Amino acid sequence: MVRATTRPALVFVVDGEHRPNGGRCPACDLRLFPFTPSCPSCTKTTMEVCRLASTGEVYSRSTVHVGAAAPYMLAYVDLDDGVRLLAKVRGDAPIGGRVRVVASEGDAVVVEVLA
Amino acid sequence: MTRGVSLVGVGMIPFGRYPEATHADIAVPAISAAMDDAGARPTDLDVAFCGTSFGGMLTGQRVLRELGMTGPPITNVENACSSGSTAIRQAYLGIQAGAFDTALVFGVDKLTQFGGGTLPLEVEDHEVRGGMVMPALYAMRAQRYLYEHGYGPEDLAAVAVKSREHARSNPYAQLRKRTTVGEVLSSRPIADPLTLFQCCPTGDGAAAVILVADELAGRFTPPPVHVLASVLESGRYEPGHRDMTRAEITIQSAELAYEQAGLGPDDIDVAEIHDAFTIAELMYYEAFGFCDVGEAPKALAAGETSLGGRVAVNPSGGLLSRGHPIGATGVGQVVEIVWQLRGECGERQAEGARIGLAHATGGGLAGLDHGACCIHILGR
Repeated sequence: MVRATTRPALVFVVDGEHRPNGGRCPACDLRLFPFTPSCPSCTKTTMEVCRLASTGEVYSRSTVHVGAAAPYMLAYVDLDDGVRLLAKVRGDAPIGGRVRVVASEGDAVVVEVLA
Repeated sequence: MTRGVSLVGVGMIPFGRYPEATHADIAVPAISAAMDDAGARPTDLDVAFCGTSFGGMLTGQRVLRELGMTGPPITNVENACSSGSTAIRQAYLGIQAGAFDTALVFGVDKLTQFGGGTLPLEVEDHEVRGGMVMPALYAMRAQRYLYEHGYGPEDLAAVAVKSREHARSNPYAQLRKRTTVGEVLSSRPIADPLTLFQCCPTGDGAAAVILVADELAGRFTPPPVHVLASVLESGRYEPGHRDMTRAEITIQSAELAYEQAGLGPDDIDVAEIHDAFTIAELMYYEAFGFCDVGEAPKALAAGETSLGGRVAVNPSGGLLSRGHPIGATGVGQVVEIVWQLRGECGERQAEGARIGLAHATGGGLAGLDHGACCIHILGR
């Protein structure tokens, strides 16, 4: 048997808030994104789905000018609960800027600068 | 006392664009050159390893069949940008352990088969599906590096200028034309702040080396070059906040390599390091201890890492100018270091080089600095 192949949606929307669906290890409390069934830290096999923070800070970003989808801006966002995720940026976002998850598009989480 | 390993023959072809060529068309001349260099016959070689990422099934056999060199074991090695150097390490380990005495290693890839654009990455990786391409990963490192240390795009561009300057006299380099900071910055934007001239070109190539147990080195023509360290690491998985200006896997590998060789950064005369993008070269100066953290642009500007400087970094032009046909790169770096240690590099010779280092790292994978990093330290 292969491992369960179902994965939660990238983002869970509750009360208008977009919370990335991460994984949390009940044994060692490691959090990561996206959800993965096994814990890479303590190797326990049952991760729980965990709603991650919807806000964070831009660690770095770059506008990509190559490929069919260009131009688009990518950013590594450090969420307030310690997880880093790659996101597409709607509009512009400077390094250090506060952003909020506002959508998911295909396999990408989308963030926007906090007003 | 473990068994020592020497390099007794090396060869490569000029890296470039050969869209009509097969992998055998590209690799056979490199292998023949290494065999001729060593004065070796096919029967002198116990085993062969082929490093390739995109060569397809049985690349090693497809190539060696044309040289009548099939029969003995051939192992194909895929480890992204470290495929070729990982293949060298496999040969090194086998000889060291006494499993065999002699080995041919070659690396080959043909990126023109993709028709241009960025390197195809594995779509099972969620960041790749989310829009990640290799230039964007390095661009985000560059943005953060410039932000933290207060440098500008011209400091990145200076790496490309030095690279072309070195490659000018290298007949094996894909890009040999001099350039300027202005020209680098005004070339086509790829992933800001990186422009076209700050990214390694798409190309094809092959390189080959022959490794033998030290006690057999006397049977071959050239003065042997000794393997002083051979290290391979995979990156540590870190799903949380990570300092992307710190090249974790290279720092870790460099420490192990220095320890294995009983040497330190001050002992390295010449180095071929993995400058897939301009920012990478700067980060790796710091990872190898060629300068302090945050000082790499200053070391470059002072000429410390140019030919004639304290440590000649990428005298071949590196990935930015020699080119980066993935599987061929790690072997091509070792070929260049062997030539440097033998004093055969003409205008691009690092004078009096006795100790050299080759470093290939790569593979874009979410949560890892890189998927693989392979370092060899060589000495004459």
